[in-house]
Amino acid sequence: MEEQDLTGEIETLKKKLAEEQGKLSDADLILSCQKIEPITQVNIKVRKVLKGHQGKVLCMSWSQDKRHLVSTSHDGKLLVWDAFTTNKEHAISMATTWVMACAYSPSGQFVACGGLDNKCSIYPLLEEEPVTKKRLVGTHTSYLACCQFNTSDHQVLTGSGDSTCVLWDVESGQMIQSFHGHAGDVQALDLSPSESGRVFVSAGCDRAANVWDMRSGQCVQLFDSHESDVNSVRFYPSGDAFVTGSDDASCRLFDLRTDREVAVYKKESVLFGCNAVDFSLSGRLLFAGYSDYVLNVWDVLKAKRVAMLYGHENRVSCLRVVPDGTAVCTGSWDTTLRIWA
Amino acid sequence: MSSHREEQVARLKHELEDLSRQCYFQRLKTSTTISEIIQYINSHVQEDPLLNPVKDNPFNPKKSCELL
Repeated sequence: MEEQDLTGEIETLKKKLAEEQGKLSDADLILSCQKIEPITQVNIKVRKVLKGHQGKVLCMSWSQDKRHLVSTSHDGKLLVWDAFTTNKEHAISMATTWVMACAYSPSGQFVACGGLDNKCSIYPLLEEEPVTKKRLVGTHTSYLACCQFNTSDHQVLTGSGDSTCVLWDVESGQMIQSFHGHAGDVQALDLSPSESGRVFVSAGCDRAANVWDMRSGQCVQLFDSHESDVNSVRFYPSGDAFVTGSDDASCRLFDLRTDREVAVYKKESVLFGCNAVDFSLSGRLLFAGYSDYVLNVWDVLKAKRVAMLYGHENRVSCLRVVPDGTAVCTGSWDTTLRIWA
Repeated sequence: MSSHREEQVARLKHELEDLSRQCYFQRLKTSTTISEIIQYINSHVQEDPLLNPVKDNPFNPKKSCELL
């Protein structure tokens, strides 16, 4: 088939898809929640400040022990922190600057990271000299933007500036599955909490969020209502929806089972791009970190901002709620991480 | 030049396949899924520490009496 015919057919199908998606829309999230009590007060403050990086903090990830976290920075360092005491337990120097991705393994024994080196590497934390026990897991043809362990320490899922995601076997360094469909740099990914090991979502500079079947490698759903790069994506705790944060200064909630956008979190006064998003334990609060240094808290059911949290002195680049929901950690270009509770 | 063209055609074919599959995706009504989203929040909101602060949050500063 010729390019022109293909392009024409793609356009027809896109219209059909939009029609299909509209057919079953018989309710609106925000209207359905009008009778629910609004959140009147959010009493969240900075509880800890983690200082030690010499460059912009680019990524962070919590350990399942709900106490330790790993962070990476523009200075080429990876730090492992005890967040209760703010002590640094490991400092690993990488061969590259801009370490844009890091992840704590489910067992807490390893951390994965990478960035402008295009590589995803793993360090064992229990060894005395983790840096000498580094293991290469996989290499992309452009920078590593995000990574996450897939249910165990044995597999890592990576997203890259080469516009692909790849599932790797840690032990052999073999590619298990690759995911093609983004038309721009992949910026973020998240694994489904309910369809663990079967479904994940990725988002990127093509303004789209793609939902993938991990076994077949197929893109099963695509959401492209953002008007600019999507920087962050996170599943709703039930696994039935996910939220995105974008350079268009909005966050959006997409419902998987209706295949639709169900809420937009934006305000005229919010002008800067959103770099990071996550939910509180129940899913009622949405934390969103922006380039104007603010951590905004949104009421998910009302699409209203309920708090503006100040503290960082440069853009908020990453954030994650502790696995048990007790606190939220933000990382910033001001070189610090802050823990809010 | 021709390999670039082949790549482009392969990419378009891939996109077409994705779209045809996505058209047949089994969807639920928004009234069903939205009430389940709300239900999930309602059943977990009491135990959400960032909405209903817990007394012994490990990240909070220790009270002075505990220091003595």
